[in-house]
Amino acid sequence: MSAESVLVSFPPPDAVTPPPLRQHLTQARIDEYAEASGDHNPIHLDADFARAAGLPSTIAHGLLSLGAACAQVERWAQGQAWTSRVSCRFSAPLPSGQTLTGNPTVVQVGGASATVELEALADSGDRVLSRASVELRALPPQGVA
Amino acid sequence: MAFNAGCLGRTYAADWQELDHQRHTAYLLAVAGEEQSFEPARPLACFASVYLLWPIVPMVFSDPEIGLDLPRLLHGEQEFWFDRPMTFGERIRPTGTISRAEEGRGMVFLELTCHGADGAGVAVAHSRSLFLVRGRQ
Repeated sequence: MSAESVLVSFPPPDAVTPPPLRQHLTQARIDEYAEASGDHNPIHLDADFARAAGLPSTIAHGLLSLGAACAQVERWAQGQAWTSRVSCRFSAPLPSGQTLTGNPTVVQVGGASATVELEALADSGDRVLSRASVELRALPPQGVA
Repeated sequence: MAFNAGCLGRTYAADWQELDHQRHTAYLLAVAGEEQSFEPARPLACFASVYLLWPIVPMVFSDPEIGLDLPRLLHGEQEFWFDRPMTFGERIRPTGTISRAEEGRGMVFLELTCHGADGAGVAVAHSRSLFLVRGRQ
């Protein structure tokens, strides 16, 4: 029997909804992301530079917001699935110090795959991530090559 | 600096990138926070921003042949996709191509498509990024 044919159904029936996204993206978190990613664009790090660029303050990296949303889904799916595709539109900047929230929803489940979508909002209610989508594929059960 | 729409098709290549566990831990702490951190068995999907996308982006942003107005640049869309699960310790060689370059509605639209080849030379990790440069008020 091939590995493909014994892929487990995903997600399991007792965990059909990922937990809500709630990440407080402080300037310290933004600084950590800049270090970890190598993205040192001053609109994320320097308030004076950000204001001169027409922004109210420093803003979180779009990829930090997307990474936080995707990590929330991957934490829920860990051990059962791998992520084959992630996509989103960055609809509005997230000023530093705000909390990114969202409710991931499973919108499609196949025999061995699932798609989770969410919209992520700032404290202000502005939509930061729209049409964010994470596609998951089930891992073979342990012991199956 | 004037935007050069003739940059369509320009390509960039970066050095090999290791999907290093320590680097990933720092990334994970930044995106998930200490309270919601966990120990994934394989690299998070968006870690590709570190080993696939960001080795290329600074080359594009600093390319004098393109002429981007960086302070007015915003990230509009992002997509990552993978042909197989990635693993810690493997090495990826990123390349990038300007796949869209146009001006319209007072904005510049610049799309960058990247592919990451594994040790066998097979492109296994991919990204598409749309950057926007806002027009001057």
